[in-house]
Amino acid sequence: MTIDSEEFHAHCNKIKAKYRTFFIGLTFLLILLTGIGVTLGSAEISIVQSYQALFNGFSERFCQFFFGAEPGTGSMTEIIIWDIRLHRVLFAIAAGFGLAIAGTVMQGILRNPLASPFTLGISSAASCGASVAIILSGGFALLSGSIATTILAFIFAMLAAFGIYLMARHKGLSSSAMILAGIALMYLFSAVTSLLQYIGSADQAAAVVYWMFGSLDNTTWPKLGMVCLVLLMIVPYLLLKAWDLNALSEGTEVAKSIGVPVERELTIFMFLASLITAVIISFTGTIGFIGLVAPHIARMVTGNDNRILIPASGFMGAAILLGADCLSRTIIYPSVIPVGIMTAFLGVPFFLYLFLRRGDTGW
Amino acid sequence: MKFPDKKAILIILLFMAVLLLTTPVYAEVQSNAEILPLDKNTDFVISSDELASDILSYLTEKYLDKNERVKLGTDLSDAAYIYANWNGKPKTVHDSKGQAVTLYRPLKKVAVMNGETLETIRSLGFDETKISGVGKYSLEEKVFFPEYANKTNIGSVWSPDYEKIMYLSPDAVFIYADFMVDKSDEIEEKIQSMNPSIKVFRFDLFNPSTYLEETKLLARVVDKEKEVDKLALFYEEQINLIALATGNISKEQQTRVYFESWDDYKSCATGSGYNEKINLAGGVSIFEDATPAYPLVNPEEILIKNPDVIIKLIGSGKLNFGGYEDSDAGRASGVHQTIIARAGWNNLDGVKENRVHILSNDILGGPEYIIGILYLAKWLYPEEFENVDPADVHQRYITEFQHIAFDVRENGVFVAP
Repeated sequence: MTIDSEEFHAHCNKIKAKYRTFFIGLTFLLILLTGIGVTLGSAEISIVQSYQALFNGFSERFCQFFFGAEPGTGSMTEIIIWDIRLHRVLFAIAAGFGLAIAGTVMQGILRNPLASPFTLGISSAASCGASVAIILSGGFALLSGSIATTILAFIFAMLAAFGIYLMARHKGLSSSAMILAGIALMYLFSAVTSLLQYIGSADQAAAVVYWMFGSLDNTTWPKLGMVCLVLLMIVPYLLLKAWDLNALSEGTEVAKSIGVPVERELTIFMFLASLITAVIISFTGTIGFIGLVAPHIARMVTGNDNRILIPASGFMGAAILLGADCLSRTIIYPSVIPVGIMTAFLGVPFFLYLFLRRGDTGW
Repeated sequence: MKFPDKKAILIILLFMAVLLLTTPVYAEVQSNAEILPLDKNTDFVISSDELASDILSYLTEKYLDKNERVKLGTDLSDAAYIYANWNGKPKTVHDSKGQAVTLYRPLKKVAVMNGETLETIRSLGFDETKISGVGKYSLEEKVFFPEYANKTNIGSVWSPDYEKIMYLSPDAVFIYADFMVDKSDEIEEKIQSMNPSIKVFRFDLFNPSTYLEETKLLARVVDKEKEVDKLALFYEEQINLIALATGNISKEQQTRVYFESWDDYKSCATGSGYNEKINLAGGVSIFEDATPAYPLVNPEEILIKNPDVIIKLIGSGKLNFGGYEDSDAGRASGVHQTIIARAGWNNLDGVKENRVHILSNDILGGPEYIIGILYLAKWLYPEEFENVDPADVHQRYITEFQHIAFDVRENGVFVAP
């Protein structure tokens, strides 16, 4: 059966319209959730007051930044909106975006629907680093407190990524080798974490468990800035290289035959995805689930083209994490359920619904 | 189909730019320079002259002008207080972390996150109305902390409610010192970055080796220097009583204890708080040399080591009952039954001689460790402590220091049998 060019264009336009609807829909959802997010909290601040404080704070900071106005002391509501709620909401967006993109890239290069920062051991390495900091913190006089936890979680996550790469390289860098190496490392790091928990006192063990839940309670403006900076540097590069990722997804032979330097590209993609994941989870604890599910959900809508899939899963991840965070702050008000738990509660039913309705995962 | 590339990149860049824009614009709120109230020449001393003019004008207005509506202002009452109690000068106090904080006004509105500090502050007679927020777990203790039932919940060390803390804007927040130290450091940092005028004090107040020192520091913070001596005397009395009775027992003759927390076969070794308390009671843990500090022990080893006394702790985890909040002794006796029915335990000396005891963590874990240690001492050395009834001491603590209407013999489950 042949199709003429008119039919082809019509089909293309249909797909473009679908993409457009998807992105516009998600953008609106994100804006809506952000709007809801800044009004949620335990302090008795009405919705109107929240927005007043938000805009007052914004104009104040705007004047300060561009016209050098004196910094004001800031009212109590403004402190709550700006220093407690706003960076948390924005961090949820940035973190969800980053984790989902990292997951997409890993699934792409490893050609495996199960690949994610979780399955590759990066999350459990970060947990291990965090527990080293929490339980053996007496050992490093210079490094203590939450900074040590963040730094060690990051270092361990990068070490895991490097370890997987070294091992896989030894075996010829096949995707199944990488996954096997990752799973082996995951078990090793989990065992070390369990051992440390056993050695540590009850409160230290509990601190490790709490870290592993993953939570957005500890976000700050500087942390948000760091995550955004990393994303700002990496995401455009990934989008530019999306064709290479498409080629790699077809298998190394295909990629090689059309001139993609496979080994180099694999290494770079692997490194960048690990870096994004490590930066985010070293601040939040393991919120690994998004990296697995957001790409799948996005793939069901947009298909396998990474040029579209990367931003689509990013938006999807941001929406899931922000939605989960809003829910986690309201569901057993005034307590907060760690968001890492909530993402699974929110994401899995949604994923299963799509999955069962379609009968395939878009692969 | 080339355009989605550029478009997507553009969207992402815009999206990120918006996020980034908000970051540098954020600037730290500057703290107000702190001065004493009515310190008109700002020399950090409230002199009688500075105070007198304001007192006179207040009195004139109230009594000579017969203005009924005039109220004693905060500045004047604070200044008078500082003049009378602090020699008119700012007061520098310290917390358990060694942090020095200079107070320019007495604390009139505080939030207390940890129950140990709340209990000790009550022992010191700190006015309940000055406490505006308490921790989540203190609110759950409705029997022990009845007067705080309606205070604002500021969360726990696990998930502090920063919004509520900012909303209350208290003069000071009390949090843990070395317990959950990373988390506590973070809480302190965060509170001070959001509102530097809120002072953060760090106290643990559950450690027998530092409790009295910490209490003295706390007393200075809340201006209860006179009351603290009475509390210290009470603790020293009990410690001296135990030391006198058990001090001469040689290491070989010490009673050997198998101590188990609420988790099955989880015991204690050197370096743990439980071990320290057993030692204070004159005993020695049969797993003293094990690692880690809270080892999960092999059940066989208990049979081999054959302890003289067996202590099982309740009050948390799977055995979250007993203590002040529970008056049903049935479950504690149930634990006792289960323990002595363990395989092979009928051969243990401790079981044969009925020296298996259940102890509630409420009188061992926190500031009341002194009561728990007294019970331990009596169980370990019944002859030496024949005339001592720990329940009497417990009741004295409740009545004289905690000021709550609670009869330790009628209510609560603290020990069994």
